[in-house]
Amino acid sequence: MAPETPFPQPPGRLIEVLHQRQQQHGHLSRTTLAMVAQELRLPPAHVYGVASFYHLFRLTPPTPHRCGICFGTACLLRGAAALAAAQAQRLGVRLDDPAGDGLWSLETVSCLGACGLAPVLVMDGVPRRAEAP
Amino acid sequence: MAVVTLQVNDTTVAVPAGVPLLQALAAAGVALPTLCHHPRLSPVAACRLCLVELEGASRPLPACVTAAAEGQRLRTDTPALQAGRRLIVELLFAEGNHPCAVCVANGDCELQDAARHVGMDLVSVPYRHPSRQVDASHPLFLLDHHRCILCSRCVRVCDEIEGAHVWAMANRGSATRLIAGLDQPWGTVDSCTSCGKCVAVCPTGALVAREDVPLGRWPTP
Ligand code: SF4
Ligand code: FES
Repeated sequence: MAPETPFPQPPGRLIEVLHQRQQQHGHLSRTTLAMVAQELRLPPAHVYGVASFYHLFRLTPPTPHRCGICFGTACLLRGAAALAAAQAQRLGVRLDDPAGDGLWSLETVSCLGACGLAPVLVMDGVPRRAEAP
Repeated sequence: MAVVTLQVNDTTVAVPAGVPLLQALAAAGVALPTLCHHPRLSPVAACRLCLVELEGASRPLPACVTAAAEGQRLRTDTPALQAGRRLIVELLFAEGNHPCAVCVANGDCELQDAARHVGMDLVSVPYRHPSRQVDASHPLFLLDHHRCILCSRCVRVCDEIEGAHVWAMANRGSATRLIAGLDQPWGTVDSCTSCGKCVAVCPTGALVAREDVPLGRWPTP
């Protein structure tokens, strides 16, 4: 029979460690990912695969300022898509382009659990109610 | 090992208890296209081409991971299964870029075999024409992402048999793609032993040996 697991388990700490490193460095560079792979004795390809799968992990350095628009159900119902379009125009950046204009970037985020404030806009980590245009 | 008897499209067959239903299909002489399955690798049931209807089950089940049990009655050819299978193959063709006429694997390709099996004469969904790359950094082999159907056979053979762990899938959804190492050129991945197992199991022309490619088409690194 074929083997059950591709490499020695459990690699359960990987996501936790990636979160830690991202908090320290602001993003996960190739060098960081290579170090994590070595520390946890995991294949680099596997580490990269996991890091690139989750939206919360950034593989490129973030812009100094970031604006997030919640695309959760409540926010979408209350005009999040129009808000995102208006905000993209205002900042002169493309939605979900991590490079932004070098100073600002605009990204969609999933439900923040602050549905009472819908539509929610996140400025540098602080969620607040926005006016749908 | 205990032997169980079950019915495949009205043919009665006997197979060891617990083996994947694919074996029962084979015993009954029924062939289904199987793109992610490989007998020597762990199953992932990703392509869904081997779906069968099992009497009493609420939904179709993949024959590559469903265990054979006594008294099962299964069908492989209902109109719903046939339509689903054909759509999957069409989606695979529309998802990547598959110009068969200029492919090394032309005539020896499991994706083509699947298309032939389902009788695909046109693709009814719009082609995505994704922008993809060719990785020609390995001295012996080539990786043409255009033809990759993301079956993950290469990932598994490298993990489970060669133990070199060169490959993985990166990103998600329609952006999913095969990566070598830390998303680097294949030829620069130290752990690659150049064993060629990934090339051997690739169902399409995505992974090929340079020597099979008409001379001079790709520069050597
Ligand atoms: S390169 Fe071949 S074996 Fe690997 S995932 Fe793509 S199609 Fe499957
Ligand atoms: S062969 Fe069973 S799902 Fe792919």
